[in-house]
Amino acid sequence: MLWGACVMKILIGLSIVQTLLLAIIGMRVLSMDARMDTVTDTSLDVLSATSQLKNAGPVEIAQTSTASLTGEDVRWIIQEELASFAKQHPVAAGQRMAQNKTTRQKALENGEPLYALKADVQQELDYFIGRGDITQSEMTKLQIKIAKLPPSERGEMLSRLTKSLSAGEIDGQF
Amino acid sequence: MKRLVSLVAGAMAMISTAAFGGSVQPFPVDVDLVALTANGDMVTARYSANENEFIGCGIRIFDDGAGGTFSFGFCQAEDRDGERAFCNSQDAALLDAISSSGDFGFITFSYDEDGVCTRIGFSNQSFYLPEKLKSNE
Repeated sequence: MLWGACVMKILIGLSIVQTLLLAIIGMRVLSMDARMDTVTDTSLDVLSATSQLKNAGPVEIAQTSTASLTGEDVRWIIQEELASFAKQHPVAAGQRMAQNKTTRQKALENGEPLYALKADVQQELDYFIGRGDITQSEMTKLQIKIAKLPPSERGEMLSRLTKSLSAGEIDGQF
Repeated sequence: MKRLVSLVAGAMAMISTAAFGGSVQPFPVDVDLVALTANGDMVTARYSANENEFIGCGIRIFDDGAGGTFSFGFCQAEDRDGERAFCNSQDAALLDAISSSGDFGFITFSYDEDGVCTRIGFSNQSFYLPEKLKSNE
């Protein structure tokens, strides 16, 4: 009799524990479900923003969806948009690339002092070759300019000068 | 008779002074545009009868405008026919060789098609000296 009561108490205890565990699991499932809803909503927002981008342009997207979009998302969207634009307007995209190249070349010409110096030395050499001679003073000034070139270009310019002197294109001495 | 012996002895002494002034080996400048070499001694070039001949080497050192210096050496020559040889070098060993060159010496150099010196040689010998230096007069 006593043994039966003990077994009964144990069973009741186990059933209570089981009920509690079931309740906890249920709460976890509800919590995960709620998070899944949030994630789904965010994904829908991203997709919605992407479709808006295609219609409205990048500035509007940046203003409406910065809260939910990550940097990676933005990069991806921009790449998608650029690829889409290039497919739709291949000629315009090519022109833009060509325009950018020209702008870069101009920037190099105007912005890079060493590049300008090399061009200056080349021009002077061409001038002396055209004139046919070089005075000692002009030679010294030219060498001073060559010295200020990047090391890789000094040899090139000295070589050109030396060959011009040897060939008699420029009458002068070092 | 004594007078005659004295005259002969004096004449012999003068002749020997003129004949034994030391070995002289003038080397006019020669530029070889095929082999890309030039040779010659400075004294012979300087006192040559024509207005073309010269030969020499030198070093230039410049401030490179970036806190350092840029050095290069060069050799140059022109022979009596007006053929010219010029070369330049940034090689440290060749610059050392140019630095060690002496006055009145013999110079020989070679260069490649880019005008870069590939060989520089100097020889300072008594037979390249001018006939008479002012200090010996």
